[in-house]
Amino acid sequence: MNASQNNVLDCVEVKKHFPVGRGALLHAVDDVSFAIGPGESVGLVGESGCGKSTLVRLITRMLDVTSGDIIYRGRNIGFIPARRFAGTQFRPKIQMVFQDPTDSLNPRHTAFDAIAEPVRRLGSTEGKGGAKPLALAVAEAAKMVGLPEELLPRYPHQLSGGQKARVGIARAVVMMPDLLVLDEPTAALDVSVQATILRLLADLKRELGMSYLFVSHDLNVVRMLCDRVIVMYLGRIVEQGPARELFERPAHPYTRALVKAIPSIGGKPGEREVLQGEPRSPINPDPAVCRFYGRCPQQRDRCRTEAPLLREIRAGVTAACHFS
Amino acid sequence: MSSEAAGPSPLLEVMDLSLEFRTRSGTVHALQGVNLAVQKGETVGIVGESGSGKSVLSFAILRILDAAARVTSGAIEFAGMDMLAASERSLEEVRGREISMIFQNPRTALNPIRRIGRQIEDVLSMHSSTLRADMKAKAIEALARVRIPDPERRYAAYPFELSGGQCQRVMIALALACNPQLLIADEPTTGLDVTTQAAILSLISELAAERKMATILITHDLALASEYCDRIVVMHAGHVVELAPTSQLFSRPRHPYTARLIASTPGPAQGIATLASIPGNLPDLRRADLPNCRFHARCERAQDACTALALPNIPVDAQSGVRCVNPL
Amino acid sequence: MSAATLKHIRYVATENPVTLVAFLLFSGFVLLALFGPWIAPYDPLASDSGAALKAPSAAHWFGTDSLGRDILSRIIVAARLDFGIAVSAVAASFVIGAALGSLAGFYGGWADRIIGRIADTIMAFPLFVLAMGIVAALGNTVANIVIATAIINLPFYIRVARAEVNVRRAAGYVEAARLAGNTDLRVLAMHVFPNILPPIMVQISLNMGWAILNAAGLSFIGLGVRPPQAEWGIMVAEGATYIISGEWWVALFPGAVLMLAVFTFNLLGDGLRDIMDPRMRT
Repeated sequence: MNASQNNVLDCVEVKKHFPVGRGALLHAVDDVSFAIGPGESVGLVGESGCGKSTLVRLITRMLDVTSGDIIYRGRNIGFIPARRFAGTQFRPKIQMVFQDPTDSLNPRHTAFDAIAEPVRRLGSTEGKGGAKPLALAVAEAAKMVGLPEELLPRYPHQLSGGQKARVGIARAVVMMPDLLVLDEPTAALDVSVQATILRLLADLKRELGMSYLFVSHDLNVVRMLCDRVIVMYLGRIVEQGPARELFERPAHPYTRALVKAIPSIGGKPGEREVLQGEPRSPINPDPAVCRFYGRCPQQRDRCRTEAPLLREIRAGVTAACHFS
Repeated sequence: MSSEAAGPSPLLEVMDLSLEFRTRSGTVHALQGVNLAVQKGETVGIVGESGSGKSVLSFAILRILDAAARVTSGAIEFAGMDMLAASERSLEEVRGREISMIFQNPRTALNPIRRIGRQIEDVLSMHSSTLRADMKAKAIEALARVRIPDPERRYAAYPFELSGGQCQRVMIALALACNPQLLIADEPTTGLDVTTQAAILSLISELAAERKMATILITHDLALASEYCDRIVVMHAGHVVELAPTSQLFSRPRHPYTARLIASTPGPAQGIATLASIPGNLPDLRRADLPNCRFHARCERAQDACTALALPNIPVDAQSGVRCVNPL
Repeated sequence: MSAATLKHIRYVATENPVTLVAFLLFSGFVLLALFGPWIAPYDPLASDSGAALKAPSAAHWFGTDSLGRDILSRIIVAARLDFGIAVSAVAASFVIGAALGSLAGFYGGWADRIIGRIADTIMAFPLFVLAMGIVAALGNTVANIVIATAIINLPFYIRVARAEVNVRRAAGYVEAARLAGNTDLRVLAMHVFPNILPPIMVQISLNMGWAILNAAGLSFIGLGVRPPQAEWGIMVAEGATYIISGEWWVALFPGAVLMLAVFTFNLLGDGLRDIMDPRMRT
């Protein structure tokens, strides 16, 4: 994967290891490389503990990498320490929509304050000009996300789940970022409002020309919104490819199990293979053993002595398995 | 509204249950006229969005509601016992032994400072006649039955040492320790990964089939309900709006809300353009003047007749039914 | 104050009658503190040996003390001193303690260790004895009572602030604030700190009661306030010797008012917290 000026984001061999005492290291993210092009929507899926939350925090620069590069439009932003990133010109370019709208809105700030905050802190001289330009920027963002103006003076506890979600989106896009990371944006919402929010996200992406990194449990939603999907397992990428391909012809056994596990109306639970066993430990993992060994329905001896590398299985699809 | 006799007398019968909560900001009419019957051994799904009253209904069955709750009408009968009139002592006998419940967020539902083996033993000592000497063996057996790997070692583990999926298995072990006749599972897999979800639900299905245990599965996920339930009850704002055997509900939904819910559920065939949403919000259940049909304001098939006529509830012994003046 | 805020205050006051009573008493005390010298029927310092140790009567509602001074007047005027001491001490320890505790709770690491040790050192002493020691070392004045009270009270705020900040440190809105371009310090000051104010408000109110009691206690044993100044603690001390001889009113009334003041602040705690918490506002 070449780090090109064109790509909005390039992750090159990103690693994040946490010391967990007595010299042991927890390999939260291990050797992850991928790219997101302009206007592209990339889905990131994996079970809890796979490292996607850590990866997201590395990409949004809330956390520093142990090694590897994070490159934004050809500039290495991984070098900038997380605690200094807020003051750089890159901060407004990479933003995030959080999973739980209730938890991610300050209970003592109104919707207006929440949306105005990035403008106040990150706005250029035109944006910070004074009260009027600020109010304008906030009103515009609210309009873009379909949040009625009369709701702006309200506090989070006076807003519905869908309205809070819109505030969260408005504040993330008010500074027109290039890359928007969405961490399960509809997981906490009722299914009745889910479609509206998803359509809003699709429209916004088009209107503002953003790229998306869409993290989600809900594979159906990922399928709907994403061009490409990355599957992570225990800190590594196990499969990557166009969304359609991944769901119709999953190459990695874990992806296969994942896709089959999605419940669907009219689906038959009997047909899926339930993954037995527990995931391997992410602490000091043995580099010679496949991370999926122990749960894989197709495991063989080779999987225990040689960890598979990501390789191209067919056009556009890469997977880390000896037997794909 | 079709109504066929259901056969042998049901294990659980909720008849015309209406319930309200007295709060600072008014009285919340949480349930109205709910009828529900569960037969021995069957799996009934209760689906609905937040605010539909599905959890309230399950708490009402077990009589573990908040002190502010008041049943204003109706009856709940479990295996012939009148649940609403029963004393606290008789209820304690029933809870955990005849009717068990598992909750969302398994990690917080377990006692964090007590080892899981002990927690299972607590249930055994309270509700069964297991001898002290046999307790540990039975507890380990219970853990093995829910497929916790290495149960002898895990017996001494604390909840924080286990993953979310494992905690849920422990909850299931606790719930099933005394072989209840009815298991109420309230959103048991929300928040768990889809692979863990599949494993947990298939475990519950298997154990239920083995013991001929009835299950009530409460969920907001229609797809999940469709895969694991024999019959589905759709609730909206405190009413039961539709009831049908699973395949019938999805092939021929009759209530507009049901149809909308099905169309809003993401699935393999849908694209973002075809995914439906449901306009409007739930009505404020504190209003004194709630209409007969609480979906009226958001329904595209709404007619004048909807508010004019009285709307009968689906009878408790019906195999299928819809609460609507203008069904599909 | 907006109409909504006033409405909310009225709601909180009427919702719980106890809170209402506490508010009224508190207002009463504040009035005494502000206008004491003008309300008092007699000059609190005017002694009249002829009228010494007179029991409560129409002329002197609370009786007179050993120097013939009207006890009621002295109690009224003492409100200002006692409140002044309590408010200053609590304000000082709140500002410094909450700041230190917040830094410790937010940053952890060295900040937490050092600040923790400071708090531990203070708490290692029996607090009242420490206060006595500080006053003795710095000099027997009212200002030093304030300083001593503030110091021994620091760990209280450090602990509360640290715990409350710690809980909120990982909240979504903290990360969102960082994404919006706030430095860590700004996140702490502008986003987290306002959220810990409601629980701290309760603590402040309870603390005020304790601070008054502490000041009275120090004066009771002769530190800080000197005669002829009127202060509840010193009045109780002066009256203690007369209880045996039957002049109960000299000690009782100041003691009762002191108790009432502490009681008022304790009751006020919950009410204040309800006002400050926007979630309670509908």
